[in-house]
Amino acid sequence: MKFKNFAAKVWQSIKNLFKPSRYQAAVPSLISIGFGIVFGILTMFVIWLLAVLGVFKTNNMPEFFYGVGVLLAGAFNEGMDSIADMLFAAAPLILAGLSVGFAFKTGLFNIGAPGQIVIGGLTAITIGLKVSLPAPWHWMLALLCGVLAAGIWGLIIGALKALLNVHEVVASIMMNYISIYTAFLIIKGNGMVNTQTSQTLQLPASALLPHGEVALFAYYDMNIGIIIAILAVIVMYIILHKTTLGYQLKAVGFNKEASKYAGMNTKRNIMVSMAISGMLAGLAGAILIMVSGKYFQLTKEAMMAEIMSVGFDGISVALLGLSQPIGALFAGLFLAYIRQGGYYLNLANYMAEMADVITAVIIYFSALSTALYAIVKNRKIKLEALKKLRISRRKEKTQDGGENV
Amino acid sequence: MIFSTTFYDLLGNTILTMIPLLIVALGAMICERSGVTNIALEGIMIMGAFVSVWIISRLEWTWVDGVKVYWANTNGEKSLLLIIGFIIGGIVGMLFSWFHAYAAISMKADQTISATALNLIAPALAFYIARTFIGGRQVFFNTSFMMTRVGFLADIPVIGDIFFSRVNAGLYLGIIILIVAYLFVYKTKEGLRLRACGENPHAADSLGVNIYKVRYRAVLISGFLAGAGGFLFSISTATSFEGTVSGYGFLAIAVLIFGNWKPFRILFAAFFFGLMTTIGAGGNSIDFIRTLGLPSDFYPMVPYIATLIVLSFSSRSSRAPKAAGQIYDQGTR
Repeated sequence: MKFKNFAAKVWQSIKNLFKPSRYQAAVPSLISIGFGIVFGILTMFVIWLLAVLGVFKTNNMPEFFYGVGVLLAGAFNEGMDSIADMLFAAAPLILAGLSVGFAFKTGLFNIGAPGQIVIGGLTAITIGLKVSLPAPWHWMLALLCGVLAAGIWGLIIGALKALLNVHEVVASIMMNYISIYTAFLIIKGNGMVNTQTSQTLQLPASALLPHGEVALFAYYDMNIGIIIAILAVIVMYIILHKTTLGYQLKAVGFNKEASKYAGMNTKRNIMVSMAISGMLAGLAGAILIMVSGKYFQLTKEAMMAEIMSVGFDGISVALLGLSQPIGALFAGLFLAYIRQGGYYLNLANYMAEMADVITAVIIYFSALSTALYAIVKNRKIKLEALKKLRISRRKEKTQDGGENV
Repeated sequence: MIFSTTFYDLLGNTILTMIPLLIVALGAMICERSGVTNIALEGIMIMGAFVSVWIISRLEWTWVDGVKVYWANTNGEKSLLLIIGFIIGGIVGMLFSWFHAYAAISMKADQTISATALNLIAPALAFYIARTFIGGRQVFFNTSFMMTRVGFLADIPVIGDIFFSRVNAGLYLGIIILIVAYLFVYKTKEGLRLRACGENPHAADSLGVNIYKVRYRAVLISGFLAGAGGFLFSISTATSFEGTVSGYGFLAIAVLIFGNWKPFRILFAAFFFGLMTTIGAGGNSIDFIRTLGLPSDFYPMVPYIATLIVLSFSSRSSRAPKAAGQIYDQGTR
């Protein structure tokens, strides 16, 4: 009997999963993705036109139709190879998106994810180089420590916000810069730098995320990062939607005063939220760096371009994924997909930055379309209410008329 | 000279860092005072800086008998270039900030999202355009706006040394903008309306103020100042533009909050931050600091740590405009 109930419950939730109404929230994102890609194609067309008309001189004529094809083909350009590349690139993006999105849910803008990524990576490097352990334990420890350190880094921002009323955006930005130089101090101070290339030393094999041997995981660079990311998505989904903590965090984000009135400890919730957000970013940083051939370049510019940019991408992912864990999964995959397309755009003599332009335009349209969608929805509700009102009035009238006669 | 050269160097560099921050933060002040948060400043600065530096890099050369010649040699000619760049940067920033205004005011979109989008678009677009049309990520230019001596004014003791010799021309622009912004916000009818929109838009609306118009204007003004500030930042810190303003747009927001949304406190905050940055960058060249014997990577952290510390003491009493960041919808009245 119990089993029957359980089975029915599972069946119901599976059925719910495929209800179209569940995916209505994704409509604005999809519309804006469409707009963004159309914008990108138009831009490419204009550049092609300018080049053909000779407005600017170039040795490499852009090839419009080939370019569009390559851009849209994204991660399918070179079969399994580029799919593996996409999944590899998507893992840190998804985690960064989870981090930013989680903070959004509590009403906090964690623009400090880039700094937390640096701290996560830094800790992973330090554990990787300074501790020697056998294989599975070594990378697990490095990963765990990276997560915890970045969690503390995030907690600092949360504490400043909750206890001292420091605006979290400003605190985050300051902490981002501080994280870069902290990384330099620790790396140089502990002899973890290759003085010739001014990069960090190569991590030992035991501290790298394991390669797989099956299917996609056998490809170059590919590791279990994407599996960790998916697990994180599931865990965050459960925390956010199935636990009291998640409910409280969302309540604080929705209405701080009301949740305070309901007896929730808003200060503690803000700190917890930032700490969890930091931990996710730290996980992204550790996964990013625990790969053979990946280093910290010890200049501010390189750190910003190679490591911290993942954190800023996380903002895009979170916005595109509507701050939902599942949304972050799909948005991260999409971003990696379009990046792959951008990478192959070089073949058509377009610049790879096109992918970033498209992403940014998508975010802008998603801001517009979410607002538009809300307006349309509101209007629908109002119209329905009006309709009901009219019907009931008509009924009243006919009843009144009946009595009079 | 009454003080040592180090003192004047310190002061000169402080002014160099602080002027773009001051200008951008003043723009942000006007914007936030009208009730619209604008964290798109970074993107607007990049856009303004990119286009104006690009144009200046073309304008500063002239062809004489088929040979490329640099023509701006005197203070006057340099100032002309500076003003052209300033205005171009401002106009580009204004046009770019319109996107934020449209999304945030007309479309009632989330202000953080639309601003973030602008922050993302600007560097990507700058790189894309630069690589497509210029052939590299960097835009090089030659004009530096260090004034050597400004006539007889440079002979005045102390003041002459500080303000009229080896000084960036942007200083004067910054001071003018500070005064104008102060007068605008506190002494004009428009300024009163602006503040009313940021504090209680519904009340202002009931008195016949067009909230949307006031806010649009405020965002565009902040866009102008941010774009122009981006130009000033690029020309005063390097000889090439590389699609970044080193986070100055975000720092300007820190300065704004530290300055408690008030013009003269913003001046002080910008000065404080400029001084800290100079000390951080100068690091070992200042005797007093060298004796501390800290590792060289510690100094660049100084401005950020100092700002955090100061903010943690001053934020409790900070008072943002009440309606800042809130979407104004007439229907909710």
